[in-house]
Amino acid sequence: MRKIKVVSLLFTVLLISFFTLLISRVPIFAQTQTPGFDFSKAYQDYIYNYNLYRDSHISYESAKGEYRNYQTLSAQTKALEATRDMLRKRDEVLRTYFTALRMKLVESTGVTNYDQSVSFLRLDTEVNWLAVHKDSLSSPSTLEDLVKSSQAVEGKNINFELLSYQSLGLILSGKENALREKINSQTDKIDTELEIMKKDGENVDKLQWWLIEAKKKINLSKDKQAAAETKINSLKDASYINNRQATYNKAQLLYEESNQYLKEGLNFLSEITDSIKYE
Amino acid sequence: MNKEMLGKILMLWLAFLVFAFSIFIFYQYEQKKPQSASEDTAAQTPTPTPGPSRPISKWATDSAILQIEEELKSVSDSVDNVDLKESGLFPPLLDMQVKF
Repeated sequence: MRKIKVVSLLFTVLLISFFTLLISRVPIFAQTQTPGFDFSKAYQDYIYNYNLYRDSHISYESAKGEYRNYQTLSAQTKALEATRDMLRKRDEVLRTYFTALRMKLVESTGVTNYDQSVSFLRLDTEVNWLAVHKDSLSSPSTLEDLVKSSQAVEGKNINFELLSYQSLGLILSGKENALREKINSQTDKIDTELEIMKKDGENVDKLQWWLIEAKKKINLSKDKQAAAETKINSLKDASYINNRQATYNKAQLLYEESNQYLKEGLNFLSEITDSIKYE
Repeated sequence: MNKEMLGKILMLWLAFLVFAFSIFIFYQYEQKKPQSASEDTAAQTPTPTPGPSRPISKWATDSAILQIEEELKSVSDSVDNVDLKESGLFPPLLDMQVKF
C-alpha cells in the first residue's frame, strides 16, 4: 500500500515536471513576454535591423560583382560569406518587422479578441519559420545552396505581404472601432441627458432629431470601414497579387473617409451640447 | 564754333544738370518720407463688433453636460490626430531574387 502511494507521488511529480517543461518550450514570442518590451522598442529593433540589412546588401552586391568578374576561389568565398550574411539579415528584418506588427496589434484596443488571436497565430508561425530558416543559414554551404535557401523565402513572400497588409488593415479597423466606441458612449450620455431635460419639461424634439442625424453619420463611418475591410479581404484573391500596395492604398482612403464621418458626427454632438447650454 | 554757340551749349548743359539734380533730390525725399496714415490703418486688425450675447440656459452649469462637453473635445482631438496611414509599417522592400 505504501509502495503504491510512493509510486503515485513520484508519477504526479513527474507529470508536473513534464508539463512545466512543455510550457517553457512553447515558442510564444519570448520578446513579448519581456516586461517593458512594447511597440516602440519593437519598431526601433526593426528599423535597426533594416539598416543592417541595407549595409549587408551593398556588401553582397559588391562581392557578387567581384565573383562574376574574376571567378577566383577567394572571390567565391567572399561572395558566399556576403550572401549568407545578407540572407541572415534579411530574415532578421522580416522577423523584427512581424514582431513590430504584432506589438502594434497588442496595443490596438479596438481589435476583437478573436481577430487578434488569429493574427497572433499567423504572425508567430512566420516568425518561428524565419528563426528556423535563419539558423539553417549558419551551417557551411555552397552558393547554390544559398540561392535555394533564398528561394524558400521568396516563395513565402506573397504570404508575407498578404499578412502584412491584412495586419495593417486590422490595426486601422481597431483604431476606428475604438474611436467609434468612444463617440457612441457620448451619444448615449447625451441621449440620457435629453431624457432628463424632457422630464423637466423642456422641449427637446429638435435636439433628439439632431442626435439621430449624428448617429447616422456614425453609421456611415461604419459602412465606409466595412467597405475598407472588404477591400483588404480581397487582397488574398490571385488577381490582386501584383497590385497589393495599390489595393491597400484604396482601402486606406476608405478608412480616412470613415474617419471623416466620425468627425462630422462629433461636430453634430458638439452642436447639441452647445444648444443645450444656450437658449 | 563761335563763343555764342559754346555759351548756349554750356547753358543747356547746366540746365540739364540742375534738372537731373532736382529729380535726384525729389526721389531721395520720397524714399525717406514716412508711410502715409492710410497704410498704417490698413495694417491694423479690425476689432469685431460684439454681437448680441446668447442667454445661458439653466443646463449650462449642469455637471453632466460640462463633462460631456469636455469628453467630446478629447474624442475630437483623438479623431483629428489618428494616424490612418501607418506608412512606417508598410512591408519592407527586400531583394528576394538572389542569383549568381
